Amino acid sequence: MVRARVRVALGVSLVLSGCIAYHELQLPSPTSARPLPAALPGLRAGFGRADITPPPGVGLAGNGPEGRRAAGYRVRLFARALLLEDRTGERVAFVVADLAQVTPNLHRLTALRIRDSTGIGADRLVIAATHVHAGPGHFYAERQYNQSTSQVTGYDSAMVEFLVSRFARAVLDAQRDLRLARVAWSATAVWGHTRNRSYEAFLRNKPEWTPPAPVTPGLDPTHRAVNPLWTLLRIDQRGHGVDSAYRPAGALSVFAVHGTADAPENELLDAGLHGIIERGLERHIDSLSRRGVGYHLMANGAEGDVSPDWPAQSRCGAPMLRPVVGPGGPRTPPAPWEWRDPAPAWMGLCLAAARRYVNTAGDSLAARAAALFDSLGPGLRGDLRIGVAFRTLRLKGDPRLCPYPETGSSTLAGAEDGRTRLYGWRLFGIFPVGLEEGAHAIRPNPHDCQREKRVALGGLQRKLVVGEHGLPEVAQLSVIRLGDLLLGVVPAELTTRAGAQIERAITDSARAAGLAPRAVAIVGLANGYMQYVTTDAEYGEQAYEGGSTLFGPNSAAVLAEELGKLAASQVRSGASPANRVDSIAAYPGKSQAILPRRTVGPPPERVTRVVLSQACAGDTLVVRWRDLYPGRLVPADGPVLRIEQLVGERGDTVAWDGDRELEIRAVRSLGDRGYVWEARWHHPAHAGPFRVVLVARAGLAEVTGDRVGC
Amino acid sequence: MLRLRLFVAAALLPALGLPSPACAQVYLGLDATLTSPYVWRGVTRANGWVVQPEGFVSLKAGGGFLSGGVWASYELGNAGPNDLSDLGTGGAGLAELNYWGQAAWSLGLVQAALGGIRYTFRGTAPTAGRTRADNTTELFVNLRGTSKYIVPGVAVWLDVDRVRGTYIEGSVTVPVLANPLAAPFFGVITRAAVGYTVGQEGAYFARAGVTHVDVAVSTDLTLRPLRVPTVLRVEGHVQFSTDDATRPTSARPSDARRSGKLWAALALRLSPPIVSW
Repeated sequence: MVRARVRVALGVSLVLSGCIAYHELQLPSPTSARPLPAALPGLRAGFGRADITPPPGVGLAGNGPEGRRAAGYRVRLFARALLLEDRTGERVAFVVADLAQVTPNLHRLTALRIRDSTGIGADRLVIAATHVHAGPGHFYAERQYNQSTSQVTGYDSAMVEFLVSRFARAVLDAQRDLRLARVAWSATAVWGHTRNRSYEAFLRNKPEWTPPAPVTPGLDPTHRAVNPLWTLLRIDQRGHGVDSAYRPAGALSVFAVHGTADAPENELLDAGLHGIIERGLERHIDSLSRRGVGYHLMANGAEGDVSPDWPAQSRCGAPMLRPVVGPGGPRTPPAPWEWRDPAPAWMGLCLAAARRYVNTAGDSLAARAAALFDSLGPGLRGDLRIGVAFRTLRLKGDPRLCPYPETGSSTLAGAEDGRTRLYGWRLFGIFPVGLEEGAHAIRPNPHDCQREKRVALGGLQRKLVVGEHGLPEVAQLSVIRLGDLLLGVVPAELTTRAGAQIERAITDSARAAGLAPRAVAIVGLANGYMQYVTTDAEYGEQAYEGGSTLFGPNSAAVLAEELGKLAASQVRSGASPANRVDSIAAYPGKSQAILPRRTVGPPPERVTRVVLSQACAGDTLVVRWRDLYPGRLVPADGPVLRIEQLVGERGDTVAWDGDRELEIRAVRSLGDRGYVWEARWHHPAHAGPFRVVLVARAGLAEVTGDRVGC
Repeated sequence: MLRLRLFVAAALLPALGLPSPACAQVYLGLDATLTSPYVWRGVTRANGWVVQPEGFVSLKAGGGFLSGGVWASYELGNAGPNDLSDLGTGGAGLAELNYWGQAAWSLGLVQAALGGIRYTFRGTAPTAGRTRADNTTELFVNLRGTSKYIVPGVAVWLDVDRVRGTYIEGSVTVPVLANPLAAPFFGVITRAAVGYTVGQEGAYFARAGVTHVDVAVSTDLTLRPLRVPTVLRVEGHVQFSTDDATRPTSARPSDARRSGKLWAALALRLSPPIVSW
């Protein structure tokens, strides 16, 4: 009897704790080499870029249960790198990736790869995410994020390797590209493209918001409740050899806007609004430099409560749980209920509306960035001083914070940009359970560290769902000095007012230490991810951002204090303080094969690539062709196809895969004969006839389709 | 040997990955329910273990389904003198065989099903609950809403053969929780139903009017082993009986006046598409 009880107790304890398998991974702690003055005196800069578009089949991270499995891709995803070195040898590398988030494992493992070649360790490497909600997941250092950032759940170490190898390649390319450079930076107010999505919480702050720049007349209050400053660092590089002129080469910019312009129901990998802006400025730089490709790293700012100004018709609506009509009869056990999407016709309309918005808003913002870039030409200088202060803050166990991270019920409901299917859900349709923003998501009797937060599932969240290590436990923080510009680098999504609170702390500390920063900008979503951080006052509203402030209402104050200390450790001479890189661990869960593998499907020599069909539907050209399986046809490996407009016998290229009007999808398997792929090209600006060219790839010759008139 | 190969080929057919966008699809359905007791319209027909397998074929076209199938009820235990049984005491085996046809489709906010069912019984012993003389045929209409929280439904069963009466069941279904992630689907659904008879009291019930109220909780787990949609369903029922025919839970006189009963069922359902065009 006693043995039986022991067995039951063991079983229960296994269910409660042991079943949540974290698979602890110790991450490396590469520290930067001591700076050595460069052989060429003066500021040097280099750029690199790596395609990080994975094959279809992965989950699109960022929209929780509404994140789809990627059916294909649209605007390719990139990691762009900038390496800066001042005359004393102080170095810093920035990588901005078209991903929803960046995690400590990506950061540390990339630092390990580049440390020996560049001297840059974890302390001098900043990897930031644009926060696009149409990039892949499965790389998170925390198990819970691998389980809940899209409908495709799980961690895949191959995805980590896929991203880390490309991040490292981009930085190493930037190292090879190091040249004498001149830089200038400025900030301009860009009003009207962003709005505060949690205005009720924003209004709780005292004193009231004083915008950092004059407000454009006519803006409504939610559009005024944001930080509109677009900070842009322009970099011109000197040419090689006899080409000694300094010409525009690239830019690093920071602007606060969520990567949620695409509809949550989007099923394509897509760099989204940020991708359009990055490319827009890069094309502008190309036109100025006439040297080749320009680079634009667009990092995100304090965007926690800042939405792009998407139109209402661009949100399709979350699936609803409904009974279904299924096969069977009166004696058949009823078909299970299903989460059903809105009608396909409506989905098509709202997805098209979202993409139109992404394109037009992206073009408009790219034009603003180009104007700012151009305005910096007269002020370019080569005497920028660089400083880096870095530390790893252990959030879990910090007495100023809640003892462990917990998610509020409002998080499960989703933000205004993308409500989840749980939004507004009530028990038996009657009793509210806090799946909303504010209202019942606020705990009426705050009695512990999480105060007003109604913790989703209460105590069961930690015991049954998240476990001991399922959510983030550390925050890698840094303050980067670029002349008189200070960048506060945080692994979080700060609300507008939390960002302002931290910027003020950095400014005050830097001034107290004798520095005179002209401006401070927040680079969010960098070097890790601890979800959102609101101000103490905003936390009381328990909007989506408050529910997602994992370590409680004091989080912003703690980050402000720590970043203030880092700013104070910067010294006037520009030399960086001695930065320690502490050891940290990742708890991602067991690795499973999610990223399609290169071994799946027949090898190239057994696949005959051929165009299967071409058709025009209105102003859209639809092409289907047979090719390799997704694991063997990795978009990041290079171009897949181009579309040529035929002028007589000559073909002029009018579109490549990766263009914003061209969608590529993996359609279905043909077994040993290969895989059917589809391209849909929207071409209102071009008249046919056209032809499709499948670009030569390793082991596969170029294939040209027949002429098609549209 | 040929049969075995055909069976294996049929089982593996869905795993070939039939293209999903099709004009029409034919589904082969197989399901089985294990229940104790077997309760039908509130009446306990057998108070031992009963297994109820079913096979059907459905044609999906234009958003609706045309289906036809055969359903059977096997009593697994030998019923004793104090047990309720369609077969009667002393035997185990096939007690009931139903043949049915149904058309079901969705009309926006309402889902509708129309069809007919032929009930045939195999009991022969003098103590049998149902014998060949009880064979009959019903036509039915089943309507239910598709709203977000509370799904109302009504089903009307009209006997056109032996009984010549109508049974009506009104229901309210409320989903309590469901896995928000796509797979595996797991949901907990509650349902309250009330039965009402108009003319079937001579055959199945003691009097006209409300027969019983049934409150059920069911959980569905949907898996796709080898890409075959497979649903495992567990349901529990609490019944409040208002008709003398729905009260007995066994043949014991002491169980003849129960006002409530509990029962549960476990169902496994497979319905893979086998042909598309």
